[in-house]
Amino acid sequence: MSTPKNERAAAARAQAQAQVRAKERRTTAVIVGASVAVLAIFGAVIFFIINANKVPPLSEASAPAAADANGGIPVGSTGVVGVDVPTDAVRLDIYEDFMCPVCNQFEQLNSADLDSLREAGTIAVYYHPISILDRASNGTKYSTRAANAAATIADRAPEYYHAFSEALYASQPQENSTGLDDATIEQIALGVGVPADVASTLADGAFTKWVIAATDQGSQDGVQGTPTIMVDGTILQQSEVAYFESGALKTYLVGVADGTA
Amino acid sequence: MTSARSREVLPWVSLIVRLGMAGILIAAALPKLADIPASIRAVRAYRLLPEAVVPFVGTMLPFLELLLAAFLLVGLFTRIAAIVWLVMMGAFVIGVIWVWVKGYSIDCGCFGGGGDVEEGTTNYPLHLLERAGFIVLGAWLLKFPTSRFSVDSWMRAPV
Repeated sequence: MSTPKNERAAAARAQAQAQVRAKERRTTAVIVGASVAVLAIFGAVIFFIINANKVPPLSEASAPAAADANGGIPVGSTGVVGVDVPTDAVRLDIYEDFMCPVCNQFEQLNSADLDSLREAGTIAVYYHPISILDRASNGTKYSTRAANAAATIADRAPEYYHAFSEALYASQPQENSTGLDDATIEQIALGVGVPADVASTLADGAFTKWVIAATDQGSQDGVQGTPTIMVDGTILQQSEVAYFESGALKTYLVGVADGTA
Repeated sequence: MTSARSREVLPWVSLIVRLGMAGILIAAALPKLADIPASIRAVRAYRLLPEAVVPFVGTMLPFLELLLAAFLLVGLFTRIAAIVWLVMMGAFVIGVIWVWVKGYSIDCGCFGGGGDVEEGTTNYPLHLLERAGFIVLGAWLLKFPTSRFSVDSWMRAPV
């Protein structure tokens, strides 16, 4: 079967046109795809720069008055933040998140022991209220709000920090709930004796940036979860001291203090 | 399977693989985007990268995952996307092997979260098995990048 000449020419022309169209489509797709990729990466870099500038390094954040360079809030032998903190005692750093149930267990189990050692001047306790569980409060960032409230009280009503912290654990919300709302946190503060003019400022977030910076500093210092316990600056592993067994941490700390552990 | 039939079936399989990979990436990226500081801490927990680049990597990772997901979703540059996917998975596998060998107890942070976990609750073999499955997906798409409903096939279509 022979095809007339003009039909073959038409077919060739159609094929050539189809090739041109395919090439145009390819060009369009490459341009669109490359633009999306470049814009997305550019946008992400801008986001990174804005994000990095939003939270200052810990050394530049406005910190609670007595807080140290590592983000620790020292509670002295009389139970007041920044007052009568022994410098020659064993230093204990406790990193906790107010949303963390295991931290609550740690507190229930050890707080009486640690309070008595602290009051005796055997240890100096530095509390680090950090926020690593913001994802566990349905977007209300309970960890950050609670830590900011604690930092605010450490700064403005330092004698109530410890009682407030214990009261927060006593009414700890479930993980993956919305957490306690700001009004409830304020009520808890008032309940332990925090003056009303301080309690009313807890929701202002005066130390939110400090909490975020202190959390990142903790992470740089090797804290990967909560609770993390450091003794004289070194992370204490549970394989060394089983601090979820009643009295184990106290025995160990007394041993460190008199040089037998 | 005859080659004619496999020519019919393979693009459908590749479509499922492609969309599955996009879904995995989106599931991995969204929790990280919701909590960028946690993503940074998760990267730091591997103790593999210098501190100077840790915040940058932790911030960029979810964006790169979403970008790759977008290309896989529409099926544009599928073969290149498969290569990028395999490179990413290779890096993650190296990370998991690294922490395993070093004896660190961490959560991989693959789908958000991350950081150290209690000793004994890590499951590195399971992580690596999951990773191996993801690598199989990527390898499939590298071998059979042609898929249904893709921009790639639209742009190569004869008409």
